[in-house]
Amino acid sequence: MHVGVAWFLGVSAVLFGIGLYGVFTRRSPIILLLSVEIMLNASNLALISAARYSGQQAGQVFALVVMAVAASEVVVGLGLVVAMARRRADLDVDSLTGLRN
Amino acid sequence: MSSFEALSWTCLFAPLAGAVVLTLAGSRVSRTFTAWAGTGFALVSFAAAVYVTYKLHHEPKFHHHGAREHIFTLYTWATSGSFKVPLDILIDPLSVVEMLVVSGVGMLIVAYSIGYMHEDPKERRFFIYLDLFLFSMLLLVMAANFALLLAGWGLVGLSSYLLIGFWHERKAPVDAAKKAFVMNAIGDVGIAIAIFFMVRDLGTVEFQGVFDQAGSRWAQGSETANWIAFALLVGAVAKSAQIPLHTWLPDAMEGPTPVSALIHAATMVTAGVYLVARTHVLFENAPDIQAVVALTGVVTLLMAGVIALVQTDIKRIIAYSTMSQIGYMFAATGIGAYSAGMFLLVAHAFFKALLFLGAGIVIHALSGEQDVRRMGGLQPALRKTATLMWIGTIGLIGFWPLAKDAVLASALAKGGTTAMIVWVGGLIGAFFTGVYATRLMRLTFYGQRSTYADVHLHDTSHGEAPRTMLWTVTALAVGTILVGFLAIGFGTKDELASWLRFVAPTVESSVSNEVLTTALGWGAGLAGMTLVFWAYSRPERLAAVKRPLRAGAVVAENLFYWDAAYRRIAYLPASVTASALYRWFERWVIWGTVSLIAYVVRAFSRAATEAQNGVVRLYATAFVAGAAVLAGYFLTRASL
Repeated sequence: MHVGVAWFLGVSAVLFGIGLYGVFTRRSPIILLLSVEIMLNASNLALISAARYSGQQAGQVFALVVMAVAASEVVVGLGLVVAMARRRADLDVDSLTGLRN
Repeated sequence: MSSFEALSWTCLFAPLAGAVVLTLAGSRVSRTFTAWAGTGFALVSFAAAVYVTYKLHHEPKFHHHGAREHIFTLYTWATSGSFKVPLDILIDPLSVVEMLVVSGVGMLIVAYSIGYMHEDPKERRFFIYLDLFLFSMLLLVMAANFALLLAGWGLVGLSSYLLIGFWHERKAPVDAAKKAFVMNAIGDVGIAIAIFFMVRDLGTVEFQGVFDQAGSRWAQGSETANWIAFALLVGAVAKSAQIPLHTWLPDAMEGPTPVSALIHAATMVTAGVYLVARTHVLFENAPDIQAVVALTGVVTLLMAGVIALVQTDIKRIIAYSTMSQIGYMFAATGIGAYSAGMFLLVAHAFFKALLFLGAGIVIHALSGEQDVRRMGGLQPALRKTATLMWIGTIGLIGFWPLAKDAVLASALAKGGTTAMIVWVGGLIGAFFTGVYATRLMRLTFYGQRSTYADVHLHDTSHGEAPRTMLWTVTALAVGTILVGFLAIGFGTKDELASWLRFVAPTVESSVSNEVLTTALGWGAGLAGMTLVFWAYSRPERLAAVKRPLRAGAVVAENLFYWDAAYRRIAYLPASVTASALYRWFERWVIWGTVSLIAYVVRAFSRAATEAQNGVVRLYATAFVAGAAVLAGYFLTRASL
């Protein structure tokens, strides 16, 4: 069976959906971060497969940039989670409404 | 870059460098240092001007483009298609004369200020302003195109504004500064309009290009030619305080005395004369307007002469005499005697700066008093000052240098109605000059010493004034005497006229004309002098002289109602309109609109804040929903 670009994009869409579902349904900030990472990697997969398909390298480079950004985001995000855990035991994003208007 | 070019630029930029350096130095250097450094930068400029003049003098003087005429370009200032304005300066006989006057007399006046402004709380700023002014004035006289000339024109207006309003703690100087600025702005607009005509019809604003093409592009006396000359005349009239745009000059006397001497006597106010001489090609292309120049000059010299007779403020007397003298210069340029007008300009720069600075010493010695009625009998205490001011008075009345006579002799030689009006008006004016100039000396230095002077006169046993003040005034007195030898007339070699021959020509006069004019001029001046000393010797004589002139004196004391007229026709309508606009338009329309916008924005924001509830997952949902809507939109478009 020939594995075409559609398969890769399909996997990417499924991954993205999983990530999105996670963001919508879970309330733990760590799981939230994990879900966001899954979504980012889904888009990376889409970028790389599109780059392969079109024969241009821009998508690959862009994926590298996304990885760098994702790494930085995880650092900041986990830092926040640790700070939160120190201040209060309850790790629930829905109760974090201190910054509302 | 040759040393000639380098020093030309040095002459222009040294005062600007002074202004910038001293501003940046600020209070890190002492006040004395700022004062002397400010003078030093002016001195550098003067030395460069002397060198440039010397070099120019040694060049052959054949008449063709390029002989004794140098244009140095720094870079292209502005470009618009094929239209270019370079930043370039013109060094020719006319501009070096102005450069010498501006930097030379200017340097002396800056040096004088070291003593005069000593201990003033804003001493440093004063010298920075003076240097800025010198740069602006040099830019004006060295510019090689009309755009740069206008830049200099505007900058001298700015520095004049800053210096008139220098003592801004009081209301009068601030009002005077605003008045001067507004009146000068009218002139700036005039020059700008002339430039628009040049850009439209010639596509250039370079002096050379404009003067070469003017005659062929605009027929002599045509409407455009008249408009251009008229627009330039408006500029010249505003800057040189000629009627009807003259009312700012007497008020400008609120500035410190060195400012009055530098800006409102020696340099800036004579810029109008320089402008007419420089652009004489354009004025000769519009003979009617040139006649208007001459008549403006005559009316101003007579009117200002009459007003000067009744003034009591020592600086205002000199201010009106400045207006009157510039009237002579305008008359000279109006009849085509440009180099005679320039001669009077140079001589006037010396003797009028001398008179102002002498008056400054008197004011200084009397703790700031300027009313001549509260002076009197100061000659024994201020012996040197009195002697020096007599030299200035002799220059002003026109005994020596023979500058005024050169103008009037040219008028007689020229002939025709306009020139004869100039000649007759000028001789009548000479009588007024004799009266007011002598009256100033008589009231200040002779007669009974007033009680005020008795109480307030400083002890002058250690010298009449700080050394920097007396020396500079002495230098100006020497200059006044020497400058007379530039052009003696009576068939002798006229150095200045031959120097300016190709740039600012004159009307050749015969020896008999000059003898007649000089005799009449001296006679009129002497008559005025004698009348003053005769009348003031006894109170009843003075009363007898004044009685028949009562009605005229009232008109003169009200300054011929110019200020009152401007108040009625310009100030009051503007003020009424402005307050009505404030009451109705600003309060209801503008404030109303602003309040309405604020109300709408506030209501909308209040509603929008409800969405900011802090629940992260709700934000994520909104975000994804928005992305989904956008994706849906673009996908449907793509499928179509």
